[in-house]
Amino acid sequence: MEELAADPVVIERLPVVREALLLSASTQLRNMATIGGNILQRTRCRYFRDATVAACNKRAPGSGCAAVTGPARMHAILGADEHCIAVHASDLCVSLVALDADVHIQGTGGRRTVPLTGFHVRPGDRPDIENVLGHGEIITEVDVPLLPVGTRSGYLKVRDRASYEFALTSAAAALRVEDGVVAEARLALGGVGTVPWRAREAEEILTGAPVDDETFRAAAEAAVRDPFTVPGTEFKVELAKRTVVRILQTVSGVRS
Amino acid sequence: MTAVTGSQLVGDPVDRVDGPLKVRGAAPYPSDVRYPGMAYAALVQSTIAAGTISSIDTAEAEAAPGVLAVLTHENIPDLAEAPLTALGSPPRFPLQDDRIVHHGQHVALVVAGTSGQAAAAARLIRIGYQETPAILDIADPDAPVVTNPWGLESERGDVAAGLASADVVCDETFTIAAETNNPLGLFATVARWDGDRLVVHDSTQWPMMERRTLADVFGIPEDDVRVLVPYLGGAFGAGLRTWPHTILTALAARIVNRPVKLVLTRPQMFTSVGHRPETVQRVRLGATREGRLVALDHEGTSTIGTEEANLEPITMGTPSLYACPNVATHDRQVRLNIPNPGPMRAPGTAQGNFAIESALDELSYAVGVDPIELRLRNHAEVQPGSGLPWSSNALRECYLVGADRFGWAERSAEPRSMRDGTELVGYGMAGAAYHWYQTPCRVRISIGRDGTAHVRSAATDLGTGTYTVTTQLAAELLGLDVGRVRVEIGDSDLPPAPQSGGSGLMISLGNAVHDAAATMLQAFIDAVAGDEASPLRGRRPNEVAVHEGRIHLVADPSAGETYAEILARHGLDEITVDGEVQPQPPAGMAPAGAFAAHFVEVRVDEDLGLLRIARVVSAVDGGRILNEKTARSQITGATVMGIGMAMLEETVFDPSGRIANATFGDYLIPVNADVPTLDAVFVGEPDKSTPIGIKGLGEVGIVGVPAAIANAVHHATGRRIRSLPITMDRLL
Ligand SMILES: Cc1cc2nc3c(=O)[nH]c(=O)nc-3n(C[C@H](O)[C@H](O)[C@H](O)COP(=O)(O)OP(=O)(O)OC[C@H]3O[C@@H](n4cnc5c(N)ncnc54)[C@H](O)[C@@H]3O)c2cc1C
Repeated sequence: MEELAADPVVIERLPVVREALLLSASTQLRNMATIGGNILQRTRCRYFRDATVAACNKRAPGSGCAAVTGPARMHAILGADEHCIAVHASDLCVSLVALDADVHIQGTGGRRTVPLTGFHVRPGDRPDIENVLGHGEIITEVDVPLLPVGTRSGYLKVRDRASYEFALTSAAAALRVEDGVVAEARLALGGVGTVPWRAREAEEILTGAPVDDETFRAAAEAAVRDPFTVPGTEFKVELAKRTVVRILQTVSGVRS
Repeated sequence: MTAVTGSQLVGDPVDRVDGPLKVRGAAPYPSDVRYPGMAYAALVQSTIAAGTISSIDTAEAEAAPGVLAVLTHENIPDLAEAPLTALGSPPRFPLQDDRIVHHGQHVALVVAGTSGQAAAAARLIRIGYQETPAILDIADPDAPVVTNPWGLESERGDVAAGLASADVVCDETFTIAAETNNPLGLFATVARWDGDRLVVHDSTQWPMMERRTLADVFGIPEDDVRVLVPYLGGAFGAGLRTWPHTILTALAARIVNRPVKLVLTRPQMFTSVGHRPETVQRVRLGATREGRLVALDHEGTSTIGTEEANLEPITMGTPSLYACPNVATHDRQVRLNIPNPGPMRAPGTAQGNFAIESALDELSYAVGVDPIELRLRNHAEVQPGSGLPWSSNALRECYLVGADRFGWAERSAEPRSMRDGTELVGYGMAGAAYHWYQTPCRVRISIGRDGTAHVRSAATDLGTGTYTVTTQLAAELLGLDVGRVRVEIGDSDLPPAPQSGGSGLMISLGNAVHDAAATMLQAFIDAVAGDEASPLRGRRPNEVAVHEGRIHLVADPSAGETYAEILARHGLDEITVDGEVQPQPPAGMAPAGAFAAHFVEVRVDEDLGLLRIARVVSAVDGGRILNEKTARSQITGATVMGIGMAMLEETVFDPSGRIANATFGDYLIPVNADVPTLDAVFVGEPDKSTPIGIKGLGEVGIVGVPAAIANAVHHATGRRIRSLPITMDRLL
């Protein structure tokens, strides 16, 4: 992770990737962590990770979800339902889904390529199935298309602790602005989704719209449509929207 | 005893004498101890919060590779009760019966040849439970309530009348989440029996208490128990009790007849060694229009386990804080199915201060008086109630010096009136007082023919600097270079010392060293009393001084001789003396603990609810400061903990009674990025209650920091947050 963040092309053309990387974990961890491992990291949900908790549909399909009725803060509000609210906690993936990265997979039966946006699978009623990787398959490569020259991008991570902490909410954005109007937009959310959350509807609202707070707020509303909340995660609905507005303000230059 | 004059008594910022050893990884912490043939233990803990064990099947575990024994309530021998301590009745010993009173209660201990084998076998134990409803909510009407648990409730004057006469009344409720001590060093026990003698290496702040506890429990003489803890990876109060896992490890060592080691896991640290209990406080302040307090009523409620004791004196210090004629305090404990709380740095006081100092800030806005001016108007010039003069009190200076360093004058009083770009800026402050605490302590000092001193006492250094400060103090009092003094502590075979707790160790140990040093000088003078060859013959202690190991006449420094010369001429290998302190509150004055004032600047990003601490200035009256460096470390370290308490730390219980965030990934403590430059300055004078004039500094640093932060948040945002931690959802 640390190596990728220091790559000259990433520095120059993909600030959103670099920022997502550098806001992840700690330097020591990033020195060791691989990109494949980051994409495939398991959720931090403490109900999933603590084997003494009986109810976890991800660990034991059909056993229920203790997080839905227990204290939950670092949990998902998008792509979530009463079966599972475990967050996909990767920062890197949030930036990569925004960029339409492709994942190259090698299996015993050959190679295939899937878009990262289709790689992780929403829990539905099978939270134990987390991605499309089949038995015997590994990730060999990740392709990240470069953003058109003139596009500005960035990543915002909001968390209780100033460093070394997963996101409560985060947002990756890339905007190409022409004459005060958004010509092209990419937007994805982190800390709120059961999978890295691409916000296509918000991108549609942004595209062709004037660069102003009204546009950004409308995009934010669209990005956090139909959330599933429990008492501990209710605040994340508004926080995620404000995170989106802020990153759009920053990337568009409305706010420095 | 005569007071030592202020010109000496160190203050040098000497580096830690144990620093090189720690940096090289050569300091033996309890978890580093190994013995040949040592076995390893692993705990099994309950996964329900209330009920009974209906079945416990250990067959598979017992058959697992390397397993030597499995201890459960069905097979362990009866053990005697542990004794009462200054902190109340001992922790409940869990394996006495089949009852479960909290999630994470120990239910079995597996002993095996390796730690991996023990942990693997622990997972093979099958336990059936008969669950009963658990009580987990401090507001649950079914929870038993203990009123006035320590007999510390007090009333001075007539609070009801005072409140009725007040121009302004503030009546607010404050809540603080449970927190967990989380020293970096995992608590570890290594126990070894040598016949009927027991040696225990343990993470404890109190070897003498632990020695007595183990002696009572195993029915052996105290002299046959040795507790060793030369180094300790932090504790913050968690080491002030002898916890069941320590007793279990000693029992296991006896049963398998081998040394046994147990290291708690991080999640087990959350359930096995206490925590700061959740609290609810109600504060009622009555004041005149000018902000003079006329009534103060403080009620503190904390949680506690279903059957155990915990001293959490939230309101104890309140009557002495301010000059207020009518003050009442009330204490309650609510019994829940939770792991029993225990002391955590400034237990009770840290929480009580948050409520009082927040309420005072509210009062300052209600009457329109600057928060510092308000405190000065209510400053307790003498001890309220008794009217006695303080043995020392520089709280006034703390306010003024701290305000000056901080730049308080630049603050505009109106909330939301200060900005930096898009961020709201807030300045907040709080005062703090810590109570006086001192207990009996003994020390033994030898001076040998090589001219070095060996100082020993059963005290501990949990990272606070006991080794360093004791070395410096002994060096000065014995007239030796720091390099010629060796301090040995952390061993219950040494002369008895109190716990490092209650900010009371250094004052006790320091004064015992002072006593021993005086006796030492007398012993050398006695040795030469009839010695024709000695220029010191027939002199009295006040006629001589010691410099670099040489005793000389004050009137004629050329006349003298060294410790080594005296010992050699008299054919002595060494002279050994004991020193002792029996604390007595000083006559005619009120013994004072440390005082402080903390000043905090916060930045708030209002859109995102992001709170960051920009700077902290602390002015502290710790009496005489023996070592600027270790003293500052105590204050800044405690301030970091205060930042954690204010913004991040919260031990979360889920509906099953399980702690839902019992890992360092989930329980947030501040990292460097959360901590700005911390400025600590010491003010005041040597305290008059003891010869060496020091006051404990280990805890006052955390007291007041959360209130100062919350007050700064109010100043920045106009929002009064009466609930800790102040997380972003509370600021959105
Ligand atoms: C304390 C802590 C804090 C952290 N904070 C953050 C954070 O803030 N943001 C963030 O994004 N992440 C964070 N992480 C997660 C961290 O980034 C991941 O743990 C790391 O990226 C994993 O990389 P790895 O190479 O160690 O993978 P491993 O842990 O070795 O692998 C993870 C999983 O992926 C599988 N795997 C690995 N590579 C491949 C491959 N090529 N093909 C198929 N399967 C594969 C492994 O079999 C395993 O199941 C944190 C982790 C820790 C421990």
